[in-house]
Amino acid sequence: MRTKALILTAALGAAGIATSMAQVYSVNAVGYVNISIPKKAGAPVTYAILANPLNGTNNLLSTILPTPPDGTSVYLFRNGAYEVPSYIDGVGWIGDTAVNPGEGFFVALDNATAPDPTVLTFVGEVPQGNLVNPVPSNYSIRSSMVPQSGLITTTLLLTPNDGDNLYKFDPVTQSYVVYSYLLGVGWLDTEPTIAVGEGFFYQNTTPQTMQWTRTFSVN
Amino acid sequence: MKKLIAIAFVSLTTMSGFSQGTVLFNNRTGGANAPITNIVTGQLVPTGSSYLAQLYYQTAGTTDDSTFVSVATAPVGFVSPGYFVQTVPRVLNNGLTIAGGADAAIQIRAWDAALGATWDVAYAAWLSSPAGPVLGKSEIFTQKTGDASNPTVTPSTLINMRGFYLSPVPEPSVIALGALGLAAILWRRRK
Repeated sequence: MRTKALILTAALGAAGIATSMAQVYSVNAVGYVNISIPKKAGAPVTYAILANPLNGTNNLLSTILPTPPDGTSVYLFRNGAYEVPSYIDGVGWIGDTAVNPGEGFFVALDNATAPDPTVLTFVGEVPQGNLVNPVPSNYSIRSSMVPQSGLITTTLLLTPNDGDNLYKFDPVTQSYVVYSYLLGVGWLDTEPTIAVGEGFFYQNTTPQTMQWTRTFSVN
Repeated sequence: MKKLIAIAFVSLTTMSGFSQGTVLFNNRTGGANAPITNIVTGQLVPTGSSYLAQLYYQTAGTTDDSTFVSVATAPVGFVSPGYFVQTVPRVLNNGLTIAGGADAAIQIRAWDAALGATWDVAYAAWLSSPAGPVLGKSEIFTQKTGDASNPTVTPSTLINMRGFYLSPVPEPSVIALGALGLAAILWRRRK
């Protein structure tokens, strides 16, 4: 138990150091994660793929992102279609919905209203126990169910299928970096590293839902 | 070589499926900010379903809006003054299909719901109701669409839309006055 706590501490600490995108300020079971998104200069909108890294009281957008910049939208990709809740000052979230750890989403910041950088803070509890993150056939936006950064397979324990693709979105260039997995070869060109609170598009090329499982504890 | 094989694989898998353009029907977020105003009151169209908005489209470059078609989903009300913000992207496939990722010509039409539940009904009622309920449409603008068959291309927002006014049909007396003025100008030119 103590070892696991140390591993988590190390992982969260490393997450804060290794990436400029996410900084973790707490290693307790309850804490918060700040995610900093640099605005794309000269563009009307800045996109990033994020994830809710912690369990809030109900994981509704109105709870986990209560006051994002005016005009922010979130693109959820569920059951093969987009669902796009939006936030307007004075109105709140239109299409408020729960976003649980393990599910990723695009956030679209209105550059006319969003500060540079925009820092989004997620508050909640570190998910623990036997965690199962279903990765459906074809495309989905996924993330680690625990607030841990690292290599997608080596550290975060996602076992890919032959031919699967992972689309990591770079908020600086506003474009994808695509990684492909070939059996017997591994990830091309390199195994992708995922930051705390970062989501990604995953293309499961099998007809079955994959189960991305973790057993995790901070005690 | 392995990289090329992987890229080819990615390309083939993402290109499979029938591609259809998608647009986020939302005039307030994701970089869009184009409110709709009632020219009579000078106020933004009120929240609720007393006013309706609908998305019309055609192939990019079309300038005659009489050829535009509406999306299949029903017109929507306003979630805050001047703004309709929908969470479900519209697919441009109602008889006319715009390919995913392609440019489309878009026009937003809005009207007082007292005129009717659809644009066609409302427009006919508007023409026969001088100085009555208001109606209007946006300029035609070009919008790059998202791709329903490739979700890595997200539905586009109405980022190129400009706000517009809803107005009543001018009363016959106003039209007659305008026609009289025009005739006077033409008569003077001929002299």
